Amino acid sequence: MENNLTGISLIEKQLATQLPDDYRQFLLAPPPDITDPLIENSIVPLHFYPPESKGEPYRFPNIVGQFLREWHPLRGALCPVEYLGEGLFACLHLLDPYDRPVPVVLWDVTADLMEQPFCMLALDWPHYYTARLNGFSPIEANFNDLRHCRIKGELNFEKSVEVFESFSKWFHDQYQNQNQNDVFEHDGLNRMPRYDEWRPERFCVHDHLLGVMGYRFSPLAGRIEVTGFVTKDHTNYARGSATCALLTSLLTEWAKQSAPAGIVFVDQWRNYHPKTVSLPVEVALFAYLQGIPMRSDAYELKADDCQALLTRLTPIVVKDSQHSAFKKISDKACLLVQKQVLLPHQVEDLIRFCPLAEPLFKGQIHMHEQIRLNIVLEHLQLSFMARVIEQVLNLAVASTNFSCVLEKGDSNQQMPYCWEGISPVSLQLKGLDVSGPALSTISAGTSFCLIPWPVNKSDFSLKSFTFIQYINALYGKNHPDFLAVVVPEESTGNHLPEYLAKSLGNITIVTVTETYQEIKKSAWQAFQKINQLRS
Amino acid sequence: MTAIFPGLEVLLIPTALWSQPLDVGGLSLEDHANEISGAYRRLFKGGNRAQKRTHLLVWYDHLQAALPVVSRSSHQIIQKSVEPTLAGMWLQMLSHLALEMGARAMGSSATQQPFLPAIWHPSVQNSAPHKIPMDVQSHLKMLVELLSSKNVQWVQNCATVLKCRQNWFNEAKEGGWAIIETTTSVYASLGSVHTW
Repeated sequence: MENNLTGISLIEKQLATQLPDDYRQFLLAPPPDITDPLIENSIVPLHFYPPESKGEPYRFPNIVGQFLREWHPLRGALCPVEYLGEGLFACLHLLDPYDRPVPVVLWDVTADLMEQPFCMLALDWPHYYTARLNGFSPIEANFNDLRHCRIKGELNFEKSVEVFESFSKWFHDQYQNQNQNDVFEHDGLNRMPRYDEWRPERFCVHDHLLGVMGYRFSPLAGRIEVTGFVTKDHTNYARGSATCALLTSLLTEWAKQSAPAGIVFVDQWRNYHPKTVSLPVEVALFAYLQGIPMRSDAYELKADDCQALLTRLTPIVVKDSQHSAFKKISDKACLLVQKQVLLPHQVEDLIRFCPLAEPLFKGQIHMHEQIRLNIVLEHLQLSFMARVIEQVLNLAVASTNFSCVLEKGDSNQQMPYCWEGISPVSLQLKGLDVSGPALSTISAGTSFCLIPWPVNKSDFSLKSFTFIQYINALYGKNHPDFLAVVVPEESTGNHLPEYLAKSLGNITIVTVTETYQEIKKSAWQAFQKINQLRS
Repeated sequence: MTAIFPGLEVLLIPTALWSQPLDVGGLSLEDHANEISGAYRRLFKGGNRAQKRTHLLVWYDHLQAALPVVSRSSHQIIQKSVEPTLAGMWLQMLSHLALEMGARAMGSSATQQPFLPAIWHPSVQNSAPHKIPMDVQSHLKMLVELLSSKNVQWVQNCATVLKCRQNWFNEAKEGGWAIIETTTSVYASLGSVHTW
């Protein structure tokens, strides 16, 4: 039982989500007798833990990991439960958009998204298991579908390539006509198309072409129009990543333009008049897999769908402290992360702590409103200081030759923007004591909390005593093993007055080389960038 | 942990202190206010916006740096604090006031641009149309006008804080005082155990 629980939590960690109840119960039940020839011949699920395996899945332990690596963009959406041979898996669709038990579907790891059969094998795990014990063969039952999907996928691909080629030809012809016969090239010298003009886009990694599309924002219709959307997975990269990347780029554009009518797919190059076409198969399937209710013949991604999909593709998670439910993340917050103006943890913190986060993300904080601007800049400074702390921690980890990623915990945060966590290795940070600069150590396996304090020199000498007292009072005896206030080195003057040193108690002073002015500048630049993004 | 509202403060500055050169930088608060209103004017006129924005920010920075020193050295300043429970509503009111002031400052034909300074001259400035009203009296006039307009929804929602603001501005007007609005740091507003 315990072994199985460990095993389940291992899988859930890999999937970054929870397994459905019926499947969990099945795994926790006494294992079937594998020596029974009847059972051995019919089904052995991938996550099956006999007692002697010590929490490791009994059979194909690597297949699950490989599946998740191969289909990394679908992490959390699919969980393989049985290997059926020839690259085919029975999978639980964990993000099923409808209110029903988690269904079991057929998945082909050797095929691209657009060629997937994706047929439902059973309504839920118990039905599937019973059917399999009774001799149901998923491959035989869906053999025709499998062939049909491959052929249909290839046809769709060829059609989309044709559309893109016609579009590309049209684009270059009209560009030359409008620009004194200049050829459009990607050298930065050419005039880039305006936001509401058609533009072709290629998605390449090194020399590998993963996808192409053309799009524009149509201000009259208030929507993003896309044409010739084609993706092809490359063997060097996780499957589905091409679709995922192109779709993210489209959704970011959608969020940037605040297009109220969502995204439509058109083909106006071969028929000479705008004609909406149905969603590319891979887009529809990808959206469906991510939990967006989507018909296979849908011809648009509605604004709500775009919002849900963008949130799903952006790694921001904010839990509402009072209701322990997930807060709704706005498209603008996602946009800032996708455009790399702010890091995900910065956006999470701002949503949690800054009362003006939403107006800030929407670009509604204006230069001319001094008080609101002050508040926002103050919060941004703290969030950038937290970012500096992240860098300092990562550097400290890197210097230990130990590879791990420190994650910012969010449980029981008493101070806003602080870094809480448990260090797996012993870390050394630059600090300060009475005699001057000194190294402070976070021991391996202990809890730590680093509180950012972007402060200038005069404020440090004036307020540090009160601040230290406040933190001491706040944490009391329940302080983490390593509790530190992080300040810019320059503001301390590398000197800790004796009265302050005496009042420190359990608190350590950690210094960073970034100056207060630099942190302030980063906050100001981020604020300007946020306002420059079209809102 | 929920959103942290900053401490919001309104400082009433006596006239003598207003025009007296400060220890920091040798300029008076009035000079700061003049520079800031000048920066606003140039910003509204257009031109090199990035440069003007920086200009405005630099002057606000100077003011922020000077204020704590002024507050410590002078006991004549009257400090009014917005109750923490009203901070959310106060912020709402500020954004509405900014829209209202922006519309008035730019004239109805211009595109709406929110505008709300944090420093207010004690006496009425030159009322030439190109000047942006940044004095206690004209702001008070606007507050009174707003409070009497019964049909505006946000005014009704924010009536408590609007009246509070009106009272403070009224007090400043009667004493001939200037006003500077400030915020405390995020940490300063976390608990009540400490006052900075």
